[in-house]
Amino acid sequence: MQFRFDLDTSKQHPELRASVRAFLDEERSKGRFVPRANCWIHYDKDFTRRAAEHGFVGLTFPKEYGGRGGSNLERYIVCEEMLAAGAPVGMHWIGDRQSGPQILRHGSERAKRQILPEVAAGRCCIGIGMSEPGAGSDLASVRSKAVKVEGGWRITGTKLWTSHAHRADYIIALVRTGEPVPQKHAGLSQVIIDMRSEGVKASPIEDMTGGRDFNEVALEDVFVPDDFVLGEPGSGWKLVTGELAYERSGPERFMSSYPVLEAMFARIGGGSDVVAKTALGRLVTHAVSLRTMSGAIAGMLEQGRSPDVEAALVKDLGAGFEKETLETARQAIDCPPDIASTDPYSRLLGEGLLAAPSYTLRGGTREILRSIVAKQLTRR
Amino acid sequence: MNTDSNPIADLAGKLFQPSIHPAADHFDVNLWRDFCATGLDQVACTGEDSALLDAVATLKAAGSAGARIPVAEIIAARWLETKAGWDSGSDMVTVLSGDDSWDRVSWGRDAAAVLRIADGTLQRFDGPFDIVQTCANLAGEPRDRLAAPSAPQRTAPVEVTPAQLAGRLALFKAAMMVGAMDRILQICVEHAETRVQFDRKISQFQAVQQMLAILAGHSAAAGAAVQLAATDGSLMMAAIAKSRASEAVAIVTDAAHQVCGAMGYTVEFPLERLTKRLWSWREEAGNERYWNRRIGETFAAGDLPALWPVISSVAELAGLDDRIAMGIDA
Repeated sequence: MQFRFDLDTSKQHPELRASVRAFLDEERSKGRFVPRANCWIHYDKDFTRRAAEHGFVGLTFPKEYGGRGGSNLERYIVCEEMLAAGAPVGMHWIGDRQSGPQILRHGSERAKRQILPEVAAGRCCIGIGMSEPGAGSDLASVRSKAVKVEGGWRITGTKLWTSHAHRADYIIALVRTGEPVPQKHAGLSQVIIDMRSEGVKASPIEDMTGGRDFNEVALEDVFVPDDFVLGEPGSGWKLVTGELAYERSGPERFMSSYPVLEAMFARIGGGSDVVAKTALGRLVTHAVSLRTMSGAIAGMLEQGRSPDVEAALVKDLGAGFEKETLETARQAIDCPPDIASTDPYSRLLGEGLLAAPSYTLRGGTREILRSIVAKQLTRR
Repeated sequence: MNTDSNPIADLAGKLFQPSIHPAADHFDVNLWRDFCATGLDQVACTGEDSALLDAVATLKAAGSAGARIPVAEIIAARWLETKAGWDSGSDMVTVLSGDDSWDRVSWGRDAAAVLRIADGTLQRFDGPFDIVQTCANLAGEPRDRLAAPSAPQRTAPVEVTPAQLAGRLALFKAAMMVGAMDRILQICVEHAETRVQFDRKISQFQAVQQMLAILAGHSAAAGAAVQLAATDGSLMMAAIAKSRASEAVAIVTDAAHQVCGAMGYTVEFPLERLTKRLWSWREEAGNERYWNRRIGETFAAGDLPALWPVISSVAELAGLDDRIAMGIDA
């Protein structure tokens, strides 16, 4: 009945970790990026290309598809280093984390050969085409429709909240290919849509941080060839559930505010404020616990298990920590948050606070995640 | 999801069954006898790599059953005596905790002996002891103030420092807390699946589901920290584990009592004897503020260039042991 998160500390990969740190040190010293809160939303195609040149993108893809054949644990190490540094990983993040692995697992040979090497080379951005205006938490109620035609399907519908869609090369869309019988999870499929196709129009949506990374994607009779369907038509719900476990299990689910914690540490270190240090100590205990749990999930994925519920549990706790870090920091240090400030602490705090509502919404709301956990607990 | 599946955990699980006796201060003589007969009191003394993990598995089982013997103190006491080269026999021995005072001595009134570390030596004071003031924690466990005896009956050099003992006691207490939380979660799920209101099991209400998930989440976080601390053995990780477990208590007990309603508020229901233990144990061996302060002061002393290289490495965290020890020995 209990959830277990036993971290295997024996696999450390020190050389890999050192190489990522060296890369990031060089990038920082050359002024190529500054740490950002919520950094994995920040799109920087040159940073992604340079990271890819160092082998840090598509690391888990097999060599024949442009990757290094690395393990989930190795990928985890690269990701947590990038996030700790607040690096602008936005362009490749989704493709590397979930869309690429999804294509690898369920795509046709042609889809794999066309797309995966481009992702690993840092030249390709993939978006998540799940949500719609009428389908957020209730994902199975998507209405984008796919009609069978010669050699493929024609897709009509609207996708929403698609990060980076206006710059993406592909999105993986959840669409309705069949009848919702016996229930609405049936008859769904995941399809790869080439964003250059006729009938695709992405319109940016401004969010409350001032960013315009969200998009509405209008699809009108967009042609998708048969070999750009993932798995079998009708298997979409099962596929999307598996993809969500990858989406929920990474270190970014508790590290969006990490640069704020590091900046808080820099401000109070060496000082005499016991209250601030105690608050810092508390945040450290949470960071270490969450990292342990998150790393344990990476290990479970490595063993071929499907830790969907564990991932939901850690994402819920992690998002809470991301928000608490901000509130703790602002109470420990007198400094008004200002996204335009030259003071990095003030800027980071401001960025974090404006983005904070999204931490418990994206990738599954906190309430949905808790329902998933509770369902497992009460299962007989 | 899986449970501890090893011989020690199985043995401890069979030994520590939930007590039906309401009086928490009644020393369970039968359990004590059985506990020593299994050899689980020596679980931390084997010198094997797995000793701490085995101790934690034992303590989790004891915590989940609300055992009325001082399991954490006994395991620590046997460990100390082994370190000092003594054969500890099967006496009921307890230890003075961090602040080295004879105030709030755990189960002191039932102890055959009390151990104390001072100036590089282990001291053993034989009982019975004079009780200056009878005292209990919220769970009713004895925490009397004893009259400090004039001299120990036995001393020997020992390489365990007061800070190291504090770390062990913190980890052991945290392990018992995690065991209690695991059992509390079980009780709450069973209750939610059985209790019917408005023509359905209350587990079908979203509000109840949310609380069960919150309870499970914070318990799991405490459990993860304890497990890592038992694998790694450092003082810093023990501090982190005890802090995380102590902090989880308010959230876990609040959710648990909400789920279990008025029935959970009575002594007939098995919840309160566990939540009272959590409210007591979170304060003992250092509460969250005690450890958060020392963790924070260790990190923020001024010479660490950044947090991340330390947070991301179990070895680096352990490397701060000497420094956090200074905040305890002082």
